[in-house]
Amino acid sequence: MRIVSAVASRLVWTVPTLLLATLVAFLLQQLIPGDQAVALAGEYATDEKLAAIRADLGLEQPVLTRYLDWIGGVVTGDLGTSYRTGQPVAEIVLDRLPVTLLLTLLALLIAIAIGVPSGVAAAQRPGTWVDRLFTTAATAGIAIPNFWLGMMLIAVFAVQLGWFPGPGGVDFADDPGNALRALVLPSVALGMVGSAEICRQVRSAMIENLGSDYVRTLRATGLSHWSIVWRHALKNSSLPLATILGIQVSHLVGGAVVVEAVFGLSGIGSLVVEATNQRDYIVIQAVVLLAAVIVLVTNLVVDISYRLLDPRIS
Amino acid sequence: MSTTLSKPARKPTRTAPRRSAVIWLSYGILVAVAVVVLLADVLAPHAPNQQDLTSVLLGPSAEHPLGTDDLGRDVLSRLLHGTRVSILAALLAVGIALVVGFPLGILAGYVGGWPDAVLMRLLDTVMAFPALVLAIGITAMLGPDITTAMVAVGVVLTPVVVRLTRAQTMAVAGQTYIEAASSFGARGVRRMILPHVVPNVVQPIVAQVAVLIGFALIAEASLSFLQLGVQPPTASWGTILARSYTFLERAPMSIFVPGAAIALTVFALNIVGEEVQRLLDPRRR
Amino acid sequence: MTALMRLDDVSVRFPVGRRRSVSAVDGVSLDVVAGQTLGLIGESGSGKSTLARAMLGLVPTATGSVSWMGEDVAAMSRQRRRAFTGEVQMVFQDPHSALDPRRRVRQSVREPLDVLGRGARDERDDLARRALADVGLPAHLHDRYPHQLSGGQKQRVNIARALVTRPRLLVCDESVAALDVALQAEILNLLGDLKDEYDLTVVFISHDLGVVGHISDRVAVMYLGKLVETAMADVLLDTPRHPYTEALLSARPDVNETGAGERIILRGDVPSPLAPPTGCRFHPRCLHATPACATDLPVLVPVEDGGASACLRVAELYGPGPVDTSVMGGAR
Repeated sequence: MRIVSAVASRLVWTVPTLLLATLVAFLLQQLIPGDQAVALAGEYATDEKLAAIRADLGLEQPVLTRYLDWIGGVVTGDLGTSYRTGQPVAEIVLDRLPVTLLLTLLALLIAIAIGVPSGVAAAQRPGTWVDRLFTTAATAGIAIPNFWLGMMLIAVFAVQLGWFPGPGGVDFADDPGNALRALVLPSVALGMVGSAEICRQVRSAMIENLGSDYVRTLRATGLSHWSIVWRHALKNSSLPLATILGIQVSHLVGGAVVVEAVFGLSGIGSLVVEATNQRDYIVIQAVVLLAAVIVLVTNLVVDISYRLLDPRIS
Repeated sequence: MSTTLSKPARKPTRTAPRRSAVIWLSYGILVAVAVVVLLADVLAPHAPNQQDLTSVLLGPSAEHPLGTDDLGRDVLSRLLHGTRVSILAALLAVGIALVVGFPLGILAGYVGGWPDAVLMRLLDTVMAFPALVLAIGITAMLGPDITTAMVAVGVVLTPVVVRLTRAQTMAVAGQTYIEAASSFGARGVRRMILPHVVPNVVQPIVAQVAVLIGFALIAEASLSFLQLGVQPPTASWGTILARSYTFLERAPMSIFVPGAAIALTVFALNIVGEEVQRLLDPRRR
Repeated sequence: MTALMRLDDVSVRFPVGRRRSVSAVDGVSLDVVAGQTLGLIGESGSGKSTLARAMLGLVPTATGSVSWMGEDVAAMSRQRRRAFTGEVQMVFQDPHSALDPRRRVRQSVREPLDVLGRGARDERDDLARRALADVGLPAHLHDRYPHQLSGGQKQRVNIARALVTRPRLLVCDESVAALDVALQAEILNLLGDLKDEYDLTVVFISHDLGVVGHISDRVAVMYLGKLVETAMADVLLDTPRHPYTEALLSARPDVNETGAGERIILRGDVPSPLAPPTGCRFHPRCLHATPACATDLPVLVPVEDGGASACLRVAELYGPGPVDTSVMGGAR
């Protein structure tokens, strides 16, 4: 029963947002200046092709009708057809999605693995040099553009030392082992900024918890310091942590676009860049919508699982 | 709370003095950046787009302190001019976000009710999109160029400004001095919003502007790196990085300086933003 | 005795959630008599501050009317309403948060004149300085910011701001509650002096019976949004005619009569105004409650010495009321 109500209450929030997100993604197309059919088909398209596009997209119809038509397709998995390649857009996007998901997941793991312990360490003695070192490093970490970090990693570890493959040319289906090796540097590049943000959040949540009354009570019972830190304070800091994980997914999906371009990985990030160069607007629209869906769904999952784990939230 | 009755809740005993080195360094970086923005023409030894195909990819020398790029252009000159382009672009994006977001935030926070609910719903939706992806989408639709790219970054930053302003406005609207003002008939934009709400909302937002500029700088670099922002041959931090990345194998360290320029500037902006926020904290008064 | 302000069956409701609402003030009728100081007393949540805000038109009334010198405030024209605003002013509880932290205190004091558009600019400045001088704030503090002043000085500024429009009615909402005892006496004396100097009528709201009894001519007691008793101050302190007032008086720490007299300890907490008790709202905590108290709604009935009490058993507990109802005074 709790599961049902937890899921239901979050769905009530997520579904309208999801619908509004589709509207935003749809309205993006309205930003295209000039004749949309010409923009979609290219300047040298024949009149018949233009007419076919107009009929296909119903460009003569009111915006609302077109939106309802489009959203009907989206719900059934029909994202339209690329006017550049003639392929169904859903097929193109799904082909590229695994790389991005894998990259984002690895980066998230790296971000947590570095961010949580360093945040806990910094929170032990606020204001001391250890804390200052961590917080300054975290501020620096946030300031470093992930794609530049990627370039530097390539320059050092791929070009100079040759430990990892350089950008491009890895086929995931053919050689999974090598492909994973190729994902190490991009994941690190993408995960570093996240680890810095997580470090800061964990630090402030931990400082608040460690200064609270229940921790003082636990100390009085003779519980060891680290047991208090890991078993109690960190557990009670997990709500802000869950929130920031949701935000991190959004940041990482956004960052993946540029990092994929740097490392020549063929995920949806490099897809949207290619589509932009070819003015393949329908593909761009699909990727933008998909990014929002990924963020909303992960937030939904994080939220529901958190509600189920924490008795205080109902 | 009356000052005669209560002592400050917490004495600032642990404001470590050594931290100030980082803060002064940050102020220094920002001053240097500002000087470069204002005086790029004077400081640059060469024209930023002047090619010399007889001297490509040179190392540092007296003539070219940071060497030349693959078209024989002086890297230092391009970097100085690029700094100006990048900073102005970031300021444009943040300016757009402030001009749109600040009044909306005041409206949502002060009026409340259904306009607030509707606006927040819309902004939640915009924020569901990863910022960079939405910025790319908008830029791609409008046609890649620096103005559209910065409009797009402004659009994705707007919800952040609205949320900050709204939260601050709600805090201010609950204060007794607002009720006191309405008790003698102050209402509307001229007598209530401008004299009482805006001055009390604006300061915490100012502290956040530094952080927003930092985000906009990274967004500019990212979009320009993807050739969706500043278009070649115009130099910006992003385009310089994109160009030098293509000849990474021949001159691996040529990517270092422009990236470090971005990182240092954003770092300084974040440190100064934090510092301003700390100084504005009423508990410290 | 002329009523400067007359409240007639005033109720104020606030929405709670979607469909419910809470009555902070419920059917209060009260006269504010010109030249008198009316003390309004009650525990927190009794609705006394809300009633004060209703007097100034800061909260909308759900029922009833507020009239100013015989004119319904709600029906006033814009222009009359402006004049009314200048004539009724309020001093708030917390002296610190009632002043805009980003304005110099002279600007804050001048602001009501600016808003009401009175006089030329330098004239307003003069008036502001004079008001600040009247409340005893030295001239060198006039251009300070609120955080540079002490609590007592800030409350002086608040009083100056309320007086700068030369109001006829001053509403003081717990205006000394945030100050320490020595300062309370100082500000109360100041208010007493200013009342004569400015020829003021004062409504003084407090939870502190000692403060109210000291400063007021007449006292009105509120409980859960309803008026339970009104009386002249000395009469009320001496012979309360409502069990709630009796309990309030008994709860007062009294250094002189240690042990003398029985202390009435109220049972339970103040009930939630969201679900007020039926009948007499005080009955669940009342020592004298009968089964009838839980069902019948008491109304204010005139009692001796010009007061009024809303207790079903008033005659039984406190002796018969006056035969002649014409001397009922301000309480209707």
